[in-house]
Amino acid sequence: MWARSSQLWGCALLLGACVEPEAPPAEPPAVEDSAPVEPAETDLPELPPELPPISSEITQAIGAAVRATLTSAALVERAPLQALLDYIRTQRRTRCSELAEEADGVMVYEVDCHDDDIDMAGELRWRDTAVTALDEPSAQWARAWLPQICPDVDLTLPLDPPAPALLLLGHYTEVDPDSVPIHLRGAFSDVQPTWPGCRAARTAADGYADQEGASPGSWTGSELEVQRLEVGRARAGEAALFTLEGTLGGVNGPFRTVDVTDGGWLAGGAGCGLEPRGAWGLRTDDGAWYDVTFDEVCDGCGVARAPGHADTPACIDALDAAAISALVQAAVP
Amino acid sequence: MTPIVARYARSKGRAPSTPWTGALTPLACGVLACGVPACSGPEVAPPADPPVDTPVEVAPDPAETDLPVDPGPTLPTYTPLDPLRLLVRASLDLRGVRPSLDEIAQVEADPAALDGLIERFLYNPRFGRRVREVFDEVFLMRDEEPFVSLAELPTSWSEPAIWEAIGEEPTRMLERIANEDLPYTSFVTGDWTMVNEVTGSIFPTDYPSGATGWRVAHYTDHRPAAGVLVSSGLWWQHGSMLNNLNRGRANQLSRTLMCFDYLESEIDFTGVSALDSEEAMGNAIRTNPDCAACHDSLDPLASLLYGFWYPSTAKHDYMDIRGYHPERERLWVDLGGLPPAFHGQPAQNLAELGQKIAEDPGFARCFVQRSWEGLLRRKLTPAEAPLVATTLATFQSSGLHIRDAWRAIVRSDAFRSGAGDLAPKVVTPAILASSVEDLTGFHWTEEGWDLIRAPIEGYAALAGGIDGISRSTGIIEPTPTLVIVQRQLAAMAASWGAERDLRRPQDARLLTRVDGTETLPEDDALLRAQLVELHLRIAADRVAPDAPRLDDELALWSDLMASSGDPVVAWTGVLTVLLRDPNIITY
Repeated sequence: MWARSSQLWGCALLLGACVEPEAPPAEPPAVEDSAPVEPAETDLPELPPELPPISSEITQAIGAAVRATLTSAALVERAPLQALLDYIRTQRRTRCSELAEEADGVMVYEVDCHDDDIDMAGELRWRDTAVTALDEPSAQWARAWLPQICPDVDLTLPLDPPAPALLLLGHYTEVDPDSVPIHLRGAFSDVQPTWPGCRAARTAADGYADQEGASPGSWTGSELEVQRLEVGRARAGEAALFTLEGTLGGVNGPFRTVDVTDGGWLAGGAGCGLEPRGAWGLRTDDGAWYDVTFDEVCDGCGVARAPGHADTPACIDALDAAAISALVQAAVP
Repeated sequence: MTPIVARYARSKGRAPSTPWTGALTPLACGVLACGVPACSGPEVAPPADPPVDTPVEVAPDPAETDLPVDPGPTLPTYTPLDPLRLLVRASLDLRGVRPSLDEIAQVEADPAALDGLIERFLYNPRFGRRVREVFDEVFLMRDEEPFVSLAELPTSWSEPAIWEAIGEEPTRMLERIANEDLPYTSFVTGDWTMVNEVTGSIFPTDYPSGATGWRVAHYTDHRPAAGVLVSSGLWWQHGSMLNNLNRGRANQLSRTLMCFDYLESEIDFTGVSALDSEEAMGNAIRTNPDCAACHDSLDPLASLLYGFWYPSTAKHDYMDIRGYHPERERLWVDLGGLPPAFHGQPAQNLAELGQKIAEDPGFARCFVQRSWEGLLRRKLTPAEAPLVATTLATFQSSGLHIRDAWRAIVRSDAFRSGAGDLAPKVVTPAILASSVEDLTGFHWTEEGWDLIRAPIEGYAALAGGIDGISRSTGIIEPTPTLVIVQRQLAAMAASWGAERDLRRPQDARLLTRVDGTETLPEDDALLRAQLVELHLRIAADRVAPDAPRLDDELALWSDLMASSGDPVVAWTGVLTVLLRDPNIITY
């Protein structure tokens, strides 16, 4: 406790020049004389107050938070968006909109239609194709994560067969009394490469996709707000890897907003099966953030941190871990 | 490695150096915030120079310093306003309306009655509205087109109604605080807001369905409890471009709540090539001492506002701008911001920011300064610095009740000054509108726009209103454009008032002694009595019944009656003359 607190205060109070403390200050030297010595007030720096640990209510909710976050993130996938896009371009383009093709197969759908029956606005750009090489963000993800589950994949070779890919950008609003309101905004990309013995998918999304009346169990029917979210999936036999980066709002769990860096979970295979990866920021509804960093020891534990609190151990229990593993297995086809 | 630090390090291309609990202070001091050759400690001190628009320096509390006590400047000598003029001034400033005939009679009979009347004005239902109107000119909320598009809002309310409802949210909060004697700190810490039927249909609040009027409401989208800091109206009105990164919004908070306007800081751009590119600009604000002097304190404040960040494609998108976005709170990390803080103290959300602002002595001091400036309708002179200090002491000892601060101001000699450069004052568009409406019942609107107060669709700027665009300071003497507005308003209000009073004598406001059947010379005495009363009510002028000016007004009345045969026309002419009185626009 003292060590960490002294880091906090070192720059603020103790050091004349601003230097980063390299090590906690030594304990005060032991007094050899048995007689108590009253230190002069100016001799010793004032000790910072002892910080309380993070409440067990928070730390015990972390397993449920990871599970809820993965459940929500798993909803962010291509299928519902593809269905919406197909609906828009096949059912709506004839009403009052223009469709054009740009270079590289990018389609542009310009919408501006307001009358008594229908209200559509926005502009969508998309490319729905197959690629023989990963785009750079997907390649970065593959280089970082795939070796853990598909070590034999040679990422330098062209994709064979070509991978289906969808890029979508723009915003689209439709309110039609004869149909369900649709609301899309943001950017979305999805690439689904396969290699012998290994298949993967990387989805990036920023914005929201909302279709009134859609199932709450789908992305378009949920209240999810995704902020620079990247979801990765990979499978090799029994091993399933689910990775997560970015921020999710509207999570149906103890923390409605979760911010994840380098997050992931490996289920099955030779992996740990218990330890989540990465750093997880969990926001309470009153605006407090708790940051949990999981270490690399296979114990489901990490350290929770929050301003005004001492670092506090936090663990995912076995039941949560088993549920998360099952969830990952289901989320990675 | 915690998410926030890890992502911050990644965005900066360097590894975080300390865990979270210690991260902010060492990082802020060692790497991120100083940006100057010598590091002066973890606190990012506010700029040392006094803000340009802040001539008032409050003397430091002697108890907090060992320095000899500076007696400070000596206040100017003020020439007292006569009681009747002071009654008018207090009534207009505290209620927005002119004194009644009965109130005038009380003061004429006993000038000592004035203090009791002022105390009543302070508890008048219009008092909070006047606080709101003064701070409308600070927040500049009514006067700018909202950043977001109104076209796609799911409401059938008219554009003027939407503008007004959005723009008044922050100052309606102040109005409630003033009327209910809530502590001023609740302006930045409260878990409530003020919403009417318009914003009730737009903002995510618990405003009752089917209700009407302004009411206390609570946002239901889990935004922090931080009063005006989480006002949708505020951030719909004050947006942020992508590369501005909430800095303009942060300055809005600094300017309105702390009386420090970064845009008025003097910056030496000599040798700065930051304008070459976006990247060079980004580097300069971190490494150039002249740039960093402001950005080291401004940018951490800006980082707290990402819950209201709207992507450039979304500012027309109601679905996006409708609610607060907690998932965007940490977007500052990816966009190259500095760790959230206020004056060097880390704050992890707007609720903490509100607490820190509330605890900052500059917050209350700024309110007092803005109140003085709003009520005097001018900047304080350096010699008047003690006025702020003494009013602040009263404000603080009262528990930060706005009514007590304003009482102290209105009771001061400075407020009651009646001569020299410090008097008289010129009406604001708000006071002009409300006082004339109270006299005649006339509210000048067109297609829903309040033409005296609306700056773009109306004439607020011509009438001396502050909109931050065409005018950034109030006028201290009548201008030709104000007189033009007054003349047009006088003609229209007189016509409205004359017709109204003669058609509905039971509700008459000005023409209380006549009914339209009068003729001359038979009713000369009655008409003169009416005119004497009109002079008193409209301009607080005691005119003798046989005064020559009444002869002229009667002659005008008689001519108009002769030419039109319509008493409404005749009285319209007379009232127009009276409503053009200089005392209508100066007080």
